[in-house]
Amino acid sequence: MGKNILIIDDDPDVILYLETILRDHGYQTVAARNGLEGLEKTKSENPDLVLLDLMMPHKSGISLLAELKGDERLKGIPVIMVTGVAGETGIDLEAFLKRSSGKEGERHALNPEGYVEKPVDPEKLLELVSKLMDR
Amino acid sequence: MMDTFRSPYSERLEKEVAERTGELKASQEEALRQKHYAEGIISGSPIPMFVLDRHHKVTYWNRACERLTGFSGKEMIGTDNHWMPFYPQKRPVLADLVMEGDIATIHSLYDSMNLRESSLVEGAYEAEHYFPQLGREGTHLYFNAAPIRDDLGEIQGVIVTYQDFSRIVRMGQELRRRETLVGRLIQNSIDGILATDETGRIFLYNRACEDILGYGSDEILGKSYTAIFSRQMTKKVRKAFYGEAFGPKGKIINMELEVLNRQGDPIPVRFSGTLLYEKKKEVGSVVFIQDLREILRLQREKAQAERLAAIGQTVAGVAHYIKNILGGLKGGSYVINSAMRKNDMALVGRGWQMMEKNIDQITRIVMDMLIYSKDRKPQYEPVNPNTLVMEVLELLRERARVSKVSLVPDLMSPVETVPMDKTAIHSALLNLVSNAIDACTLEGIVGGNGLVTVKTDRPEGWAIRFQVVDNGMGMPEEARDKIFTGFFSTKGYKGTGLGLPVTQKIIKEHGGEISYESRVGEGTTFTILLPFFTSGS
Repeated sequence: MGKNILIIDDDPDVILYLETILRDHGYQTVAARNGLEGLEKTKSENPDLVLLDLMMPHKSGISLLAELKGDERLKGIPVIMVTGVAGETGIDLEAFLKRSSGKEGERHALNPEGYVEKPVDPEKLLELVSKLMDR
Repeated sequence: MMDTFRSPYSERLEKEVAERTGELKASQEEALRQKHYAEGIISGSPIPMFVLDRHHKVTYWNRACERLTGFSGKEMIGTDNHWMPFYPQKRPVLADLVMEGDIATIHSLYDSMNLRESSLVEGAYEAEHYFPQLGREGTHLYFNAAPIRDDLGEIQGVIVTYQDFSRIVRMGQELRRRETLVGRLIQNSIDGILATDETGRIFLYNRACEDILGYGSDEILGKSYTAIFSRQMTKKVRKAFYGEAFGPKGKIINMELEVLNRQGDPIPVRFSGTLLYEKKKEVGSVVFIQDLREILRLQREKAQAERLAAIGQTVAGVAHYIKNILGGLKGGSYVINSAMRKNDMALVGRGWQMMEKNIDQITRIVMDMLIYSKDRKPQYEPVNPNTLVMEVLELLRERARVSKVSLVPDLMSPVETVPMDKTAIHSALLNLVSNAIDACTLEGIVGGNGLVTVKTDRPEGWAIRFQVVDNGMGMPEEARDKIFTGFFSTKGYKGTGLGLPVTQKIIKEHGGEISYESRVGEGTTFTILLPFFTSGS
C-alpha cells in the first residue's frame, strides 16, 4: 500500500495540514512533535521519507538532519526540509547549511534531498515527494 | 769772528724754522687726526652713508652702507659707481643733483618718491623709495642727500645717509593683511556677527546678519539694538547678558529664541555673545547669531527619515508575521475542504480550530499595533490580579503542554483588587508568559523541564508586583539593549518583535515600571510594578 511519511514539526496545525495533503493523495503519515521524538520515530517507524521542520524545540531540524545523515542505517531515507527561514528572513538556507556543515567532504552528507517553504504549497510538496519516492 | 757773529742769527733762524715746521707738522697731524676721527665716525656709524666729492667721486662708503648695498668701500671709493646698488642703469642720483643744485631735475626724478626738502639742513633733500633689487625681498629706503659746503659756502661734496624702513612697511602690510582677513572672516562668517560700542551703537553688522534679519547694514550701522529687535527682545538679551541664566555674567551662551526679521517672520536663532570690557569698564558688546532654520529643517528631515525606516521595519515585521498567519489560514481551509469532501465532521472541526486560532493571532497583532501606535489612557477598573494571572495561564495551558513547559502560579493571599486597565495588563502578562514559554522551548535547552512561574505580591510602596520567572535560555547581552525597541525579535519568523514594546508601553501608561534580569542558560525574570494612584498625570 501507500508509502509511509514521517512529519516532524512542533506546530500541530502544520502537522494536520501536511497530513491532510499527504493522506488525500494516498500516503500514510506518522507525526513527531519535536526533534527527539522525530529521531526515535525515524528509527521505529521505518519511514520512506521525512518532512523535517527547521525551527523546533528539543533538537532543531538542523541537528536532527545531521544525526540522520550521520547514521548508516538512516542516511538513505530522503529528507525534505520544511522552512520559513529562506522566504522570511532572507537567509539562503542552502548556503547556510553548506556553511554550517564545515568541511568540504561533509557538505554532501548534510544536504537534505529537498526543500519546501512555508506556507507549504500542496502541489509543490506532492511533486517533490513523488519525485523522491520514485527514485 | 764773522761766524760767531752770524751764528746766533742762523741758530735763531734754524730754531724758528724748526719750530714752524713742528707747528705745521702738529697742525697737519691734528688735521689728519680729525680726518681719521671723521672717517671713524662715518665708517663706524650704524647708519649707512657715503660721501661724494666735488667731482662726483665716492670718497667714503661706510660699513653700514656695505651691508645695505652688498658693495664694498674698496670697489666704490674713487669711482662714480654709487648708482649701481640702486638702479639697473647709470643715472644721476639725488646726491649728484644736490651737488649741481639742479632743482628741476630733482623734482622731475624724485617727486614720485615722496620728495621733500630737509627741514634741518639747507639745500638738502630727502625721499623714500622701494628698491626691489636691494636685499632678498627688496628694501624700503628713506634717503637724505645733504651738501657739504666750505667756508665760502661753495658745495665741496655731498653726504648721503639711508634708513631702512622695510620692517615697518612689512609690519604695516601684515597689519593691513590681517585687518582684511579679520574683516573677511567677519563678513563671510556663516553666523551673524553684530557688535556695539560703549554707547550701544551698532558698528559691526555682517552679511550673515543681513541674511538672517533682513535689514541691510546701511539701515543698521550707527543705530541701537532696538532698530532690529523688539523692545521685549532687547530686554531679554540685556537680561541674558547681565544675568546668569545663559552662562556667567557678561556672557550669553547658546540662548535659543525666535526673532522677527524685517518681514515680520519668526526666525529661530541661537544667540551667543559677550560684553566687551577695557580696564573693567564696559566698552561694548558682540553677539553671534546662528540661524537655526537649516538645522531645524535637517533635524526634521532626520526624524522623518528615522520614522520612515521604522515604518519600513514595522511593515516588514508585520508582513512576516501575517504571512505565517496566512499559512495557518491556508492550511485550515485546505483541511476543511478535504474534510468536507470526505464528509469527515471531526476533521472539519479541527480545521475550524486552525482557522480560529489564526484569526485570534491576527486580532492580537492588530490590537498590539493599535496599542503601540497610539497614545491612550488606561481604562481603569478594579481587577483582582490573581484572577487575571489565572486567566492568562489558562489561555496558554495548551501551548505550554505541547512545549512540555510547566506553568506554575505563585499567588499572594489575601488579595485586594487593584485599579488597572484589565485588557491592557492582560495583554502585557500574556506577552510575558508566552515569551517565557518560548524561552524554555525555542532552543530546546531545557529539554522538557521548562518551568514558568508567575508570582503576585505587594512590595512596599506599590499596589501590585507581577513576576514572570522562567528557567529558559536567557538573553544574550546584545539582545538586552533592543528588547524594548519595536520589531526586534530573536525568535525568527515566530515573533513579531512587538510583544515587549507593547508591554512596556502599557506599563508606562499605568505609571508603572517594568524590568528584567537574565542569565544565558539559566533563565529570565520579568517584573512589573503598578502604583497605587494612577491619575494619568
